[in-house]
Amino acid sequence: MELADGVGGDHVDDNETLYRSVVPELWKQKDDGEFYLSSQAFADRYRRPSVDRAKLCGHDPGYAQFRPSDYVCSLMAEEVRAIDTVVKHDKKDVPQVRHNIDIELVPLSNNDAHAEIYAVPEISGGRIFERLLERLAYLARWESGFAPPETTG
Amino acid sequence: MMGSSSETRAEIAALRSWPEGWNGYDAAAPNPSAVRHALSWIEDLYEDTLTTGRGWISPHVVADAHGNVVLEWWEDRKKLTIYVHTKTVEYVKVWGPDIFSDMEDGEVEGAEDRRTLWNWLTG
Repeated sequence: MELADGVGGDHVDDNETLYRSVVPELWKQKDDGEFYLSSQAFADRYRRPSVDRAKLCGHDPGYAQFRPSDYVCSLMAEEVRAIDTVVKHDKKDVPQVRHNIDIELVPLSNNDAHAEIYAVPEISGGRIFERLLERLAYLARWESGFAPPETTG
Repeated sequence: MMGSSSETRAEIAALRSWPEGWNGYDAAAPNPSAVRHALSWIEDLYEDTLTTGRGWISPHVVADAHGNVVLEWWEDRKKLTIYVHTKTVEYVKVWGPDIFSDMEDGEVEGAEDRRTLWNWLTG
């Protein structure tokens, strides 16, 4: 279920790709050669991680970079909306609040493609948002040409 | 990802140089008090590992958007994320993608909790 709608009826379609810039400090390569994306890749002070809508920036991951050294990962809007187990429990493990996850259009004066991932109702505390960060990192994929360098040898 | 504890301490200390907006978005600069706490906490964790057969495993050192220190370990299908605040330490355990059934979170309230998490990660 899509919750957010923008002016003029524009909204983030389920099949949209959402870009997120990733500084090199946010990934790690282990001895086994695997790359691991930090859960902090989508961290946000206000619990509304910013993303850029690929279709509004020519499907160019470079648009999302803040610095040439940044990598870029992406999420699919449908997969973000499908996150349906963001549930806050009380101390007796009784479910209290179920949050839906959606993407809101938040165009900026210098960035028409800007959007934000958010929860309804808003996540107010606890470590629910930290769990959501883990899931977003799990869903994220590196964009070709903007991924960390592979190991050699 | 064995590394050394001294390397980890150096990486934690280096967080002091990270600026506001270090992630390109709006992350706060790492809090110096959180960095001090993390240096102490990691030392305690290292001492714990001396009594296990597995030895030290270096975490990934980063910060969160609020200035807290974040330590992450990935071991096989398990992942442990530690958040070191200025006075408290919290954790998120992950063993799958589902937020409800494959994750657990809580506060690390002392040495026993710390060792229990390490044993879970390395067991």
